[in-house]
Amino acid sequence: MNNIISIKNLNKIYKTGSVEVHALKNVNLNIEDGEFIAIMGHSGSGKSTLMNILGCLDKPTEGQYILEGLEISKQSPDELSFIRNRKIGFVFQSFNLIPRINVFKNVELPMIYAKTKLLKRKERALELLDKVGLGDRLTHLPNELSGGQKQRVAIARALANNPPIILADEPTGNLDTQSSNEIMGIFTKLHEEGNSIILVTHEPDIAKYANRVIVFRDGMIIEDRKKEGASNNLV
Amino acid sequence: MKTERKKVLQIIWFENIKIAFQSILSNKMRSLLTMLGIIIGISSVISIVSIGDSMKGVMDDIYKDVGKNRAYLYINNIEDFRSTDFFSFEDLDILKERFNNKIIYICPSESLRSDVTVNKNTIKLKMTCVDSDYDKVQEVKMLYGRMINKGDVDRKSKVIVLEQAAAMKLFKKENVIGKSIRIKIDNVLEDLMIVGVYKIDQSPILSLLQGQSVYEESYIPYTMAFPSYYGFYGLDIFVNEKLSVSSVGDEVVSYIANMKHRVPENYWFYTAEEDQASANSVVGGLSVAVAAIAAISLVVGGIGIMNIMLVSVTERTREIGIKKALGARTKDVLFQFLIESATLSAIGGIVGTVTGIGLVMLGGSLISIPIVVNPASILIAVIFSMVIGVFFGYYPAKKAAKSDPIDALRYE
Repeated sequence: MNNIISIKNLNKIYKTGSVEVHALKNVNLNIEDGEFIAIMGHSGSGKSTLMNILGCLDKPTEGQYILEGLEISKQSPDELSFIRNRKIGFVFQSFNLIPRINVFKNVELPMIYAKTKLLKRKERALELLDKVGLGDRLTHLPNELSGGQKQRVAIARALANNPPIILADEPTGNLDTQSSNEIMGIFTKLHEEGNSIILVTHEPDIAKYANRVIVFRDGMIIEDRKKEGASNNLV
Repeated sequence: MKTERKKVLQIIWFENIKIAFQSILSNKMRSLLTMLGIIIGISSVISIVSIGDSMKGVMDDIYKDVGKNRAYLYINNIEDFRSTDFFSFEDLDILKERFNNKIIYICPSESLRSDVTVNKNTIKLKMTCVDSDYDKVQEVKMLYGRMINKGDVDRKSKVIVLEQAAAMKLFKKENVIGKSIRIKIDNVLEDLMIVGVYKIDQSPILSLLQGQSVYEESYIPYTMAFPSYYGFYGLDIFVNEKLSVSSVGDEVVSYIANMKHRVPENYWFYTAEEDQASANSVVGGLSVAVAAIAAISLVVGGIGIMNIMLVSVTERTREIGIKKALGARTKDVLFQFLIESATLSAIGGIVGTVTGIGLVMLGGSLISIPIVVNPASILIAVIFSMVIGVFFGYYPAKKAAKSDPIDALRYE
């Protein structure tokens, strides 16, 4: 048992004026190191809320979220920045690359905030871009790339500080089938290399790449199944 | 360990400055328009300050001509005025002897005016009364002949030293030594022989300030102009340059007051130094006042920067969200925007400084006065513009830094 993430009785309530939305209801979840998880559900099911909390972008209203032994709800905004920087790699549906700077600099950015030394930073960015097959697109601006290429840059950026968890929020949502398959191929490879991946999707075709599928409805987990014969590749 | 930390910090500073330049360059037109406020503000402050400094320089030049050791002594404010209150020829001799080593020149402060006609050329002539050795205490640039000397004064010679312009207007030539002109003193016609011609070297700005005088200049011996029983209101005095003008003045005033049975308050000892100080303070005060008005445009420029930074923050809400998700701390975002606004206004400050100096140089060369540019004012201008950038950039930067990453990421 090596829980990288442990969630206990998590509740999230959004208040908009007098209206209260109970987005997560008493969610309990343990995630082990090296798992490849797909979180599924319809829109409004609470899966994105959970994703934001897991990514330390949002705080739960109630309950406990422990990431690698750290109680997240007790951290200050700057400590959360530090945690996001070192422990979490984000891949978004809309890529969220910074449009004004080139591919290489986008990948460098998390390492700048991690205060990685210049030389090491450049080496790492090159290595990662080679890994996602964009070693020849370093000086391109994001809008000069195709969707699939943008998402590969985002994956390289997510890996920059070698985080224990990669959070991907509908990473193939804006991509065609071929690009989607390429991206999922990369995720599969990363998983095989031992990375923990949490993926939010509503497409069963994408979810099938994962070795554990958690289904949300109305803020609750209604299904949590591990794939037959799935292993964590980590002994 | 500490130096390690420092090094690491420097990297992110450097990155932030690079990001700031990128963002300024990626919006060239907007950056230029934003900077315009600062450019105009700084260039007006710089040019006004250096005009002020240059005017002081011109003043120094003017008073260098007048002589800092020059003073005038006037009878001032006597209600029961007696004829003995006038300064007589004897008084002059007494003062000369009494203050032998302290006063190097003393002469009634008088001048006469008369129309002079030679060959149908008429000029108005001002004749300044001088003692011998006037040219020893005040520079007189002789072109031909000689200045009024001791012999002229002792013998009350009917001689005159003309300024070059007067000679030209009367005789159409400069060298007019030996010629005579007829003047009228107290309704008595006198023929004076020209023994010398001199030239007044006046800086263009001085003639600009003083305006065109209708009178041409000349010198005559004071003993010739006035009968020996005559009394004078004022005296023209040059104090020994090694001594303080004002303390010698106090001595002279108290001596005269004692001699005439008056109090020192009845006399006015007026020095060029005093005059210069008050003129300088007027110029200085004026340029401070105008610079203060110009500084208002700096504030307006600063508000322009704040406005554009707010727009920039709104535009980049999503970028800020991404950066925060990737691990940027509040401080990182704050500094990024602060550095951007400080860079924007510092560039504006530098351009403004160059523009301001350029304008003043141009103006200075047009009216041919030497331009004084104070390096401190340049430094202050650039630093001040950066301070404006930081001050007016703080609110937008703070707004950006405090934004919630999740809201920022959701922002379209």
